[in-house]
Amino acid sequence: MNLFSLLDQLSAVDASPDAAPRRQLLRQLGRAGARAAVAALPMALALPAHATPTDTSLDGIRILLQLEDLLVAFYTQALAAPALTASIPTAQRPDFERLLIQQQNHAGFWRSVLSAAGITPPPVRPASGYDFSGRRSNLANPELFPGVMTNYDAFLQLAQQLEDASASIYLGQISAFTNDKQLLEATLRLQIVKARHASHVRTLRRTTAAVASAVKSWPSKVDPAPSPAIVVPSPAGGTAAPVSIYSFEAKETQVVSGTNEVPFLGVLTGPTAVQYSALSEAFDEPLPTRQATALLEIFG
Amino acid sequence: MSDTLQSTGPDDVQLMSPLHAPIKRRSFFLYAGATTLMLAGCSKDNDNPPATNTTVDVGSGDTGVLNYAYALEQLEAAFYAQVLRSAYFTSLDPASAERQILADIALHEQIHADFFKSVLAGNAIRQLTPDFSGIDFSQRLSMGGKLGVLDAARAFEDLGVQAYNGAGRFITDPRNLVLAGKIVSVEARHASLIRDLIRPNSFMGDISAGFTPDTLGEDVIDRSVTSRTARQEKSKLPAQVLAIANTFLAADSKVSANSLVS
Repeated sequence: MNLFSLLDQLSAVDASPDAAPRRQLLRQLGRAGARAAVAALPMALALPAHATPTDTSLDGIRILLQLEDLLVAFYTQALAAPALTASIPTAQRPDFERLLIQQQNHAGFWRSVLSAAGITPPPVRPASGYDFSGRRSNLANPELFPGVMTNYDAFLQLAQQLEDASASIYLGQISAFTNDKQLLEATLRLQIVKARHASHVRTLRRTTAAVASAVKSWPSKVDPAPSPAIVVPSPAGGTAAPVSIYSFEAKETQVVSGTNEVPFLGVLTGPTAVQYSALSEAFDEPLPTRQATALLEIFG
Repeated sequence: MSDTLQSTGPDDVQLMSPLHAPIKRRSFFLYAGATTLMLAGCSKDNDNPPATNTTVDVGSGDTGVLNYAYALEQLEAAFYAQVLRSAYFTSLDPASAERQILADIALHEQIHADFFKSVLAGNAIRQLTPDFSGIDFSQRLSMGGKLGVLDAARAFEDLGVQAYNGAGRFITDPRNLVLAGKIVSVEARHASLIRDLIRPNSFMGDISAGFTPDTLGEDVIDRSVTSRTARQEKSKLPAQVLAIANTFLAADSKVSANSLVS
């Protein structure tokens, strides 16, 4: 049973027909105290099944905290894995220690936001509770990401995908905080740190001899495709095959309102003409909530 | 060269002061962390003409924020366009990663500027005239009282990131928020990379002697482990950003954001 799902349903049903956002629930909980809310939880079981709340800030916080916990577990496991640490160049180990410390602080931030609203944050799970082989802690399952905790190249490749995805997941949640300027700015500032991490991990891959063709420091169509790639459900839905997280980054058009594409004629003339790949490089793209949630579930 | 002049306050409070200081280029060098340049620059640039010329105000609301972003992207695009024509760039090995990187970033910034111009259409501010006289385009790193190409690039990229972070709060339309987020994310990638080019592993800041992963090397984020913004990227309000950006704009192209106030 998921505490947040219950809270979500509670707020959706409590709300007037025009569905007050759940950040109001945060406020209400802040006033009423978390105990009262938890005591009321069993009632949620009787809630109508048709409550289908839209994304709001509590959903956003839940996903972003889950993401930060996953990143913390990833670098915690990596820095404690004997074979992997033996293969990480000495100059690079402090990088990953910094990444770990920063993600720990970010997770702490989201926990403090929940606490301040009177909600007991989910406990920190031990890093060993996550499985970055993709086996979902069941040895009978196929190993989706072999060697991640033993081989530096395999580790870097997954780190790149996780950091890229993190920036995209933050971006995907940002509109949940439109009405809360403090959380909005925090979300932007945290997204930026992920983007810096992603850029650096990509730079490390580019400067590592084991990668044959050049990896850019931003997702690019000319990047070698990650193998194995993290795949998430296709936005096409139904039985469509799962897609790489980078399929979302391949957009060459930007739409401002409705279906109006923004013309980029200026850059497509003159000596730098016909560099369409730059159009997708110049914008990071959000990872929608459904895909973000699916990604988080792959590892634990 | 040392990066350690960078303010350590959570939101660069120390950089508030240059807002009213007469020697604006000096404050930029402080920002850029170029110790020797700061010393050399302050005597040289004391005689900046007073800003009696026309100022371009970005306006208010979402349009104001988009124009503010457009102004900064214009500045970055103009800078990298000049880099591509520079003696430094043309001297690079055509197969070098650094040459490819600068060419890529130049395209990204031009695309960003084009993007805002298209989106704003009739509401767009006019084309700004840059003043890059403080940059030596023949040098990779700063020397002789002027910023080198990479040091200037680093300053522009870090400033751009902090500007978007501080401007998000003025946006009301969620679609514009996502658009800004798409762009600032790439600016952060640039900033990280340029720093790594200047010195490997300095993507978050100074890694000079005494660096430990826990306490140093994080100029670009709030180093605190206890504040609400612990380990978040820094953020600057428009007035703080423009005080720096305007030192790179010609007298007839200074930008203000008088209506973007919280």
